[in-house]
Amino acid sequence: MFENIGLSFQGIWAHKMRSFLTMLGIIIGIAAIIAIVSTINGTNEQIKQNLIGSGNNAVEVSLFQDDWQYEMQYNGIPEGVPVLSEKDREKILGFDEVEAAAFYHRRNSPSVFRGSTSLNGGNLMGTDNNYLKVYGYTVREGRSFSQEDLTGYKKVVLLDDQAAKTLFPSENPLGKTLEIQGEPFVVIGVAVQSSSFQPVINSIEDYYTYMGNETSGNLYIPYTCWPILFQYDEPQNVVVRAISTDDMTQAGKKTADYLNEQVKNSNNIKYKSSDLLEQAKNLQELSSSTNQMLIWIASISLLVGGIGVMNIMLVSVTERTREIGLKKALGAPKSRILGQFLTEAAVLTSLGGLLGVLAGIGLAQLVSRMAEIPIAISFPAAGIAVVFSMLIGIIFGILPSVKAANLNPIDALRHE
Amino acid sequence: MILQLEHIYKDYVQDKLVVPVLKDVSLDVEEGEYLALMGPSGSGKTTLMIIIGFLDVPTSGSYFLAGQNVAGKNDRALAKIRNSSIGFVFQSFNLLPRQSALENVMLPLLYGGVGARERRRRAEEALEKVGLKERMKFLPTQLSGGQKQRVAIARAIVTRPKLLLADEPTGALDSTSGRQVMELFAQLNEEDGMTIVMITHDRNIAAQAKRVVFIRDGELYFEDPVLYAPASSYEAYDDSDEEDLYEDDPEEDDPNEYDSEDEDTEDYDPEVSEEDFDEEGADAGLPDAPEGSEEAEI
Ligand SMILES: Nc1ncnc2c1ncn2[C@@H]1O[C@H](COP(=O)(O)OP(=O)(O)OP(=O)(O)O)[C@@H](O)[C@H]1O
Ligand SMILES: [Mg+2]
Repeated sequence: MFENIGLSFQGIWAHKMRSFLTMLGIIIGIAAIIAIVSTINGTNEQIKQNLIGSGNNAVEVSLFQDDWQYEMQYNGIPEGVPVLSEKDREKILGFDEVEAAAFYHRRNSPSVFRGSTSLNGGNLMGTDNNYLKVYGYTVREGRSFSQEDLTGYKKVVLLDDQAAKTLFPSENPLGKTLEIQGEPFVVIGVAVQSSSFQPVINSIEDYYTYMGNETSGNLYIPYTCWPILFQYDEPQNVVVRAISTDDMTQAGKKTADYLNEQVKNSNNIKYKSSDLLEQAKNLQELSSSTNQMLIWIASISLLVGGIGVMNIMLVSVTERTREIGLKKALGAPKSRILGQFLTEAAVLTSLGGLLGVLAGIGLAQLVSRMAEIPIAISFPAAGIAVVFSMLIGIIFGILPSVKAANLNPIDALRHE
Repeated sequence: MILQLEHIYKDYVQDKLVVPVLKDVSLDVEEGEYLALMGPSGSGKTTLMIIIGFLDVPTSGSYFLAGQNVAGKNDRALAKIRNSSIGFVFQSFNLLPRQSALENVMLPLLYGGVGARERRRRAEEALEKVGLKERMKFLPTQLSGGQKQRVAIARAIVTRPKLLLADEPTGALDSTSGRQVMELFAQLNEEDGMTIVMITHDRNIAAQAKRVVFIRDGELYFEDPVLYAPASSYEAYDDSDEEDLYEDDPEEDDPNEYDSEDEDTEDYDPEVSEEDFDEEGADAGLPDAPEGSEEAEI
């Protein structure tokens, strides 16, 4: 076996040019596939990070009517959906996959003014410190909510960085008063997300995907103040933090199932987890399906490469009739000749595969530099590529090898 | 009795035409014999050797090797017998061009499943026997024709076969190298008791064997038939120089001529030109071949 591998390398080296040209089809095919796969992986990795990384494994579980998010500000309070209590939160915290949980009310584009400056868009949340904890916010300036803020219906507000910049472009917001839905609220702090996550933006589409609702910022007020601005008995949305990214789906599902046990609504209103992992997958699939086409095209190159290998091997068998005949005369059994030629084909294409992987990595790097597309080189993929090339060699080497093994030794010895 | 051929027929079929090549050949060879097989070109010598050597099966007739009937043996079994019981020496050496002398000699042992260390030891021993141990690392292209043939002989005897088959072993060699090969054969036969069947065109070479049989148009003769009578072969026999065994005779030229076409695996062979040179000066009766190695003396 090792004997054969050694011989194969000798043979390949003895005909460098021919071997290289034979391998070229395989090299090109594998290089193309590696380059494409690296690009797909890079893009997928980026999508995943952009979507998931922003939330610290946070999964939002909110009310949906059929497939649409249920907006209480337009549709009113849904029937049969109870307001959640601390007891519910403790139940949710009891799930293995859940690390932290918070309830919150939300309004899109609330009316918020600082003098004549207004917050266009953005969100207003009625919540407590748990919410900050789930999303990994820390209070950069000022303080978070105190027990007294919550129990005493204090009209205080926390801003996020974005909102602070929008409403207080040139002054320190601490202690200043804002007008929210016509009521005065005092700013007690500015919260920032502790992980300094920044989504990678490569295109306009990415911009809308990741930055869409981050333009004007969020404001947080004690949930106890919510009825002052809006309605009483408004059911909350829930956000939980999973203990790991892989547990996000399960954490969201368990929470939604638990909450839905208490929902008795005839209009199909239900809690649903907006599974970011799922969303990431969908986006990834979208980008992969186009590239899958390219992989098929590259595979054709591999097929052509394999046929090229077969062709050259057949020529080589004819050329080496004499050598084969001699070996048979000396007592080499068929299986040995077969093994020799199969090994030769496999070594040739594996080498081609290896060169293809290197070329593919180079190509991917080039593409990423020129088109500013992220790449992620996958070592398993490289390994599979080499093994696959070896298989191509074995498959397309069968015919020439069988031909060699079945040569009649006398033809060989008389062959001119 | 090591070889027993009974009523062997061999036909080749070419373009639906049946060409009878061997016609009722019966031959017994005793253990330890040294047999030369002579005959004009195309008479079926190589065909017979191919059958003796298990490289092909006869169309009809039976064949025993060391009392064992070889009919009906499968491919693998025949390969095994070839490997262990028979050594081949060819006119055109048939060494693997990219392997050293030592590697070439080790090859049959590899097929016989001999371990690496033992392979090397036995190959070195065989090369020592043919006087080329110090050149064992040489590639065939770095060896002269005579040396190549001796490597080939080492390869043939390395498995210690019962039977050594040689098809015109001196055909491509100048007379000095040819003589060395013949010496080696005599030694293998006398000292090691190896049975040798050798094909040759050359009476002088044949004369060194203990027994000579003749073949003509596929038929075997135990006495010299009038081989040269009808001009069916361009290779007319010339008895004129029979007295002097070692004088170059014109016949020796013929094998060389087709050898040079033959040689697709071998590289340029210095012996051919040396031979030509030799022949021009042959009348002088000089002790030939400026191959000039210590083995030159006879
Ligand atoms: N494969 C084949 N198909 C058809 N005819 C063949 C085949 N091999 C050999 N022959 C014929 O068989 C005859 C004997 O050939 P063979 O090689 O045995 O002769 P030879 O005595 O060895 O000749 P030479 O001295 O030239 O080597 C020739 O006429 C040749 O044409
Ligand atoms: Mg012949």
